[in-house]
Amino acid sequence: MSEQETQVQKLIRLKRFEQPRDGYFEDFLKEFQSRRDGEVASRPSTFSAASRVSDLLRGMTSGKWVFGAGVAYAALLVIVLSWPEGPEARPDASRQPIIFEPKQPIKKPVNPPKTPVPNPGP
Amino acid sequence: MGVSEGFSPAILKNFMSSESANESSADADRGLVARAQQGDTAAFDQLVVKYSPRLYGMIYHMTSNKEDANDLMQDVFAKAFRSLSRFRGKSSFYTWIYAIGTNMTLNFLKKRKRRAAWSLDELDSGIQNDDAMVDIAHFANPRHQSDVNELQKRLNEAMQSLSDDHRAVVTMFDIQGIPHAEISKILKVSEGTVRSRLFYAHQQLQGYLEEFIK
Repeated sequence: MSEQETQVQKLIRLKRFEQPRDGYFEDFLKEFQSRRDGEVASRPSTFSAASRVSDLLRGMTSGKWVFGAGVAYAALLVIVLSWPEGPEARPDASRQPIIFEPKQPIKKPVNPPKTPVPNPGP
Repeated sequence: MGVSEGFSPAILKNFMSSESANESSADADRGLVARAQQGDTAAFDQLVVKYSPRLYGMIYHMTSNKEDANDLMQDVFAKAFRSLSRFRGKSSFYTWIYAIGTNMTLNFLKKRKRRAAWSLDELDSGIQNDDAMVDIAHFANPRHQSDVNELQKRLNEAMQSLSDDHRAVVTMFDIQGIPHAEISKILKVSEGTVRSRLFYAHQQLQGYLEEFIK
């Protein structure tokens, strides 16, 4: 390090002696506490639960994610399979199935007569 | 909030704390953080009391404005309090809160540049009449009994002439005495980058402070 660079450092270090007035940090803490209390009071009740879920998810590693996704899928499958059938799911007895009846008999397609395929000789 | 600058030898001693003291301090921090994460606001208040002087120094020397420093420090601790549940202790609380403070200050400075309302006239000059400052200025440069007002002004101008990234490393290393390794963790850059930024910053500062170092 050159002599000039050392001199520069000495001069810049003078700035460390710049300090706020006495009692500044005590006042700062009071101001901070007041602000924090205000923020906590105005926070909606759902915020706490949401932030906890967010923190839980953020803390999960990839292995836990795979396991969590598997458990969620299995739970969903169980719910779907065990879902009780509602009235709309049952067949309606008052409704008859529609049966299509043609007015004219359907003609069978005429196939060309089969001709015997000559068997190639040995 | 108005803040007048003055000397505080007691606070100065805090900057000179040893490495071993930092280790035990980190242990104490872990306990306070754990309590604060459980909702103990008094524990968080202790962390605020402990780190606000150092954080103020960093933010004030980056912004050169005491009102901005005060507002930013409020924002930094408020954000830290909100984010405390996400602090996993991978770094020390000191590094973590410093990283929050540095990032928020750098973002603030970018916005301030965009506003283009900033002028060097707003720089603080509260210590220029302080007797201790006069003595120290003469001690630092006995050949030139420089006018303290001029020195203060030139120091501020020199600091403001640096880019935000360069000013950050000069503030942390030269003014606050934070080691290179710690600065690299706070800024999330390599130690080589920290040293390189310091070298170029010192080169630039030499030009601004030439009359005081000849």
